[in-house]
Formats: sequence, structure tokens, C-alpha cells
Amino acid sequence: MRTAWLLVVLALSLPAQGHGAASPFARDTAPRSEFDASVTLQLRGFPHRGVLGQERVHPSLAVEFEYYREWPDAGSSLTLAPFFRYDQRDDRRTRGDLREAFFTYVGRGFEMHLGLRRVFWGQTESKHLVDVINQVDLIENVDEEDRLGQPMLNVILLREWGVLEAYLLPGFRERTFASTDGRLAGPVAIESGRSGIRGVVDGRVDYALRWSHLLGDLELGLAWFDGSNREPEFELAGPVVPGEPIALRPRYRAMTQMSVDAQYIRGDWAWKLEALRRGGDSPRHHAFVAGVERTFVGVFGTRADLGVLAEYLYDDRGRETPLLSFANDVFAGVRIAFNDLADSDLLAGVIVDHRSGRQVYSLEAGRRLGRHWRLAVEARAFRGESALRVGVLEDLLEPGRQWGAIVRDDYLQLEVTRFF
Amino acid sequence: MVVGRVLLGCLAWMAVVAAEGHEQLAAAMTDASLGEVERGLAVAKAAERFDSGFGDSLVAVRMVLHDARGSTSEREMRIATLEGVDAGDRSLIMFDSPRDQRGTALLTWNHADSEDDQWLYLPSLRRVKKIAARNRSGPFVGSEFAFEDLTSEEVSNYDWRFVGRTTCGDRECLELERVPVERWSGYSRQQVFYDAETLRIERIEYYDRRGDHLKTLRSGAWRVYDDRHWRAGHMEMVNHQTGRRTELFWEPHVFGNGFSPDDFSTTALQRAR
Repeated sequence: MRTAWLLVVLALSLPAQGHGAASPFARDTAPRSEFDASVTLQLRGFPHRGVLGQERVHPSLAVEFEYYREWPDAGSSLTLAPFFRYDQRDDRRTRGDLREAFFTYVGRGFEMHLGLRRVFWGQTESKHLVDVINQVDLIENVDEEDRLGQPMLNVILLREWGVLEAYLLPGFRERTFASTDGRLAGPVAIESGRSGIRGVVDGRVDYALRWSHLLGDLELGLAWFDGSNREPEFELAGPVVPGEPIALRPRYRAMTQMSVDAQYIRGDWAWKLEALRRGGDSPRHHAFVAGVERTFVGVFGTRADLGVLAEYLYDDRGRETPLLSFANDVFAGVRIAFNDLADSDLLAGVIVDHRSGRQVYSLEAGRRLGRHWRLAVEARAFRGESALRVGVLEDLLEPGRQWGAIVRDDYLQLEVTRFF
Repeated sequence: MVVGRVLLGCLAWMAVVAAEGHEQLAAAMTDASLGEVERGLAVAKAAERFDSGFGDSLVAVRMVLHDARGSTSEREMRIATLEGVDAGDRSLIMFDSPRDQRGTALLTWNHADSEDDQWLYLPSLRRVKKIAARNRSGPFVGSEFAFEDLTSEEVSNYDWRFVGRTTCGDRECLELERVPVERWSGYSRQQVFYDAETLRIERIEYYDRRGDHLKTLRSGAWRVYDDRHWRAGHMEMVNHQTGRRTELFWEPHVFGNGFSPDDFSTTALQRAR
């Protein structure tokens, strides 16, 4: 708490040094506004009905807006990014959300952001392990790349010795989960799914610090986080009554997280590492993702660039590691940029669990159609045995057994987006 | 009156700098003791000296890509550049269209004596990603330009050799051969044709790693700023092996924007727009 106040004082003392430019690359100094929008039609098809009897075809429509206003003379800007989705099957996925809503002030050697904002930490591709500021919007996609806006006061200092980011994070957002009509889902109902902002809990304000620097060919980041764990534990939502459906309730404990993320680039090779240690009120645990990416330019005499990826994922929680968090797994993948007029690209990979032999296959590809449209394809397949006994309490709580639900959730997704 | 005197002073100073460039060039061309390697390096340095002192610039450019079958596609971007004082130049490219690429930005720190640093900003993930050096020999956003064609104008990135005097249309040109020092380059050599009077680059012929003629870049529709900074209004890169070509239509450059190194940091990259 004391640290939190220290951050506020630090933040308020900065602007005295005069302002810089929120975006120095505008073509004149008059205030400017920009408005962007896109509409995406999404169709998900599943070869099997879900473990809870969910439908096989899930259509939905999403609208995203972004409004940006800048006052160059005052070194400040405002960003608003509302998002809406209508999902025909899952009421929880039908919702509106403010992805971002923040004010930026840029000074000399520092910048400050206030409001709902999204930030990214990390280097690896198969999992974004250390990326802890924003809650995962799991109902959007199980790849954990969609995130909810986090209320924050964020101060960034640029110095000779690196970039120092300080975050004061009042308010907490719960992870979103599909309803029992939606997919992808576990074998049991999960309560909540509220994506609203919870106020300050027990007078505690989350905070985080990150230092990052470029040291020759090494990009290094060290971070400290003290706040609510974004990853929930699950408990029974109520007493078990025979004949009544069981539901789980997510519980978010306080935690501290110390992390390192690094990338070392040498020639064609990029070596990547993310590692963390969590403690505090959450059970102490360690995890890391480490790997390498090699890029081949103009592969096989074509215009395409081929990237080959290999990563190892470790989590010392072992069997207790949450579903799709990967305790002892190997990831292998390829990334292709076709370098054509349509900006076609493809990313394909597989994660194999060393111990159980379970596999997650994924494919993402996209290309532009004309000037304003983009077509994207995504597919995931889950392979490997699991003896899930539906309705048996112990099975519902154990990540290894929950796999029995996800194996029925192979899917193919088509998206067509119109940009305005 | 005072304004007039300041203006005169400025003009005089500019004349001095331009004269220095010309003197350097004249010395390079007349000094009989110079071998072809020394003369090549001297001309390249004179050209760099001629264009030095631009400070910073901001320019919008429209890129038209033509494939071999005649299909075309367009992109719009803005390029901001900060001239390095003790270090190499820094540049930031912001993609404005097509709309699905809007918000993507590319930051480059040129280094005279080591590999350049380059970062890509992916707006959908809010992620800044450092890119491996080798990627720069690949096509730049699907065009016939490679990354390295756009960012490798530091003299020390090449070994130089003076070839001779020739003509570019009705003007006199100086032909230089340069061999990229960086081993990741996609080229074995380049023939560079400088206009003998202004030292602007009229034409570059690129040879692939097998030594075959790969591409030709021609620049035209010249504009001059402060009597010495020549910037092309139109460029065309033709790939002789595939029949593809890429045109660049440049809007007028804006100089003296007051950019600072902080505007070319990885944090600024995330809010560049």
C-alpha cells in the first residue's frame, strides 16, 4: 500500500518538467480526431456436440470501434475503444465492453496513462506466461490473447539505464468463461462470467513495476507484481444436492509475481525466455517457457518468409496445473508470411504434453480481400485420452480429467471482417 | 532589418556547407593519388556530407505494388526520420492503409558499426516485437523493396569502389560499386549512379547473391530543400527476374519537426499514429 502511494506521488511530480508530444508524427499541430471501426462475422463449427450437449454451430457478430483524439499542444491524447459481440448460442458472450478508455500525457523522458488500458509483457509465442496486467478474456478465445481493459495509472520513465514502468491497478476484473450453452467449455458450469470491474478489495490496491532494457543483442525485462492473481482457483458454488447440477465458482487469491522475460537475437536465431515465481497468498509455484525461433527468408526460392518455432513449457504444479496451462510440454510450430499483395499469413503449431501424450493442434491463417475486407481461418484440435466421468465431483475439479470435455471441442472458425 | 541580416547569415552558412560538400567532391575527383577504392569511399562520404544536417523529416508516401499479371495493390504510410548526431539515424514507419494493417508500425535504429535494431508493433496484441536482422533481406510489406533497401544508407554498411563517369539521361553521373558488409544482405553488389552535381542517387542496380541482375531502382520528380537536401517524388523498383515492380509516390518532406530520440523509443512506437 505504501508503495502504491509512492507511485502516485512520483507520477504527480513529473509533469512539472514540461510536456512532449503524444504522437509527434501528426502532420500539423491542430487537434485531430480519428475514428476506426470494424465488423466481424464469426462462424464456429464443431464436429461433435459438447460434453454438456452444446450445439455444433456457433455464429456471432462483433463490432469494434476506436476513437482517438489528440491535443498536440498539450502533449496529450484520449483513446476510446468500445467492443460489442452478439453470440447466437452463448448469452454470456453477447455483451459490450470498453476495451480501452484512457488518457495519455507525454512529458520529457516520461509518459503517463490513466484509465482502462491494455499492455503486453513477454517474448514467447506458445504462451504469454508473464503477461499479468490484464485479465484474460477467455470467452473470446482460449488462446488467451484477448484481454480485458485494466483500470490503471501507468507511469513510464525513459532513462539511459532502461525503461521503468510503474502501474497502480485499482479494481479487478474477473476472467470470463463460456456458459453451459457456449463453447469451448469445461465439463461443469462456472459461475460468474461477469466482466464488470470490481472495486478495491479489502483496501488493497494492486501494483506492478517493470524494468526493461536493450543490452546489445539482448532484450531483458524484469517485473514485480503484487495483487490479485488473474488465474482463478475453483471451489464448489454450493452444497452438492443429488439430481441438481453442480457449479464451480472461481476464486482469486492475492499473489506476488516475480518475472523475467528475455530475447536474444543473433543472426537468424531468436532465443526467448519467460519465467516467473509466484508467492504471497497463492501457493508458491514456478513456471517458465523457453524456446527459439529461426527465420528463413525467401524460402524454397519463393517470396515467403518461413519461421520455425520450438518452445518448452514447464510448470511445477504438475497435475494441478490448470487446463491448457501446460505443465511439461513441448511446442513446435511454423509461421509463414507469404509477402504477397493480400498480406497472407499462416501460423500452425502443436503442443505435446510430455507425460500424458496429450496434444493441442492449432492453425491460424488470414488474407485480405480487396482493400477493406479480411478473411481469417482458425482451427484447433485436442487429442489424447482422458477418463472423465461426467457428474463425478472429483473429476470435475481435476484439470487432467477436465481434458475429457475439451477433447470434444475441436473446432473450425471462419471470420470475415469489414474495416471502415 | 534584423530579420534580413539573420536570413543573409543563414544563406551564407548554407553556402559554406554546400561548398564544403563540393570541395570534398572536387578533391575526391581530382586527387590523382587516390585509387578506385579510396575515390569511391570519398565520393560516398561527400554525398553523405552533402545531405547531413537535415535534422529530422516527416513524409507521407503511397506505395503501388504491381505483380507480373498486372494486378495492383496500394499502401499508404508515413515515415519519420531523426538524423543521428553521434549515433546512426532512427526511423519510424507508420502504416495507414490498407485498413487491416492500420496501426502497425516499424522502428529502426541504424548503427554504423553493428547490425541495426528493428522493432515491429502489432496493434491487435499491443505487442512490440524485436525482429531478427536477417529478415531485412526479405520483401518489405510485399513490395519489391527489401527492408535493407530502405534503411542501409550508412556509408560504413558497404565497401566502395569508384567505377567511372557516365551519363544518366542528359546529366553527368558518377558510377560507384558497393558491396554490403553485412553478411545477411540479399545482395552480392550494387551499382550506384550519383548525379555528378547534386550527389543525389539517380539509379541503383541490385545484383543477387548469385551475381545476377535482380532489380533496378530509378528515382525522379526531384524536390530540393535548403538547396542541398534532394528528395525524390517518385521511385520505381523493377524486379527483372519476376516482372514485378513497386512505385513510391512521395509527398513533400517536412523538415524541422523538433523530434527527439524519445519519439523513436519502443514506448513511443506503441503510441505512434
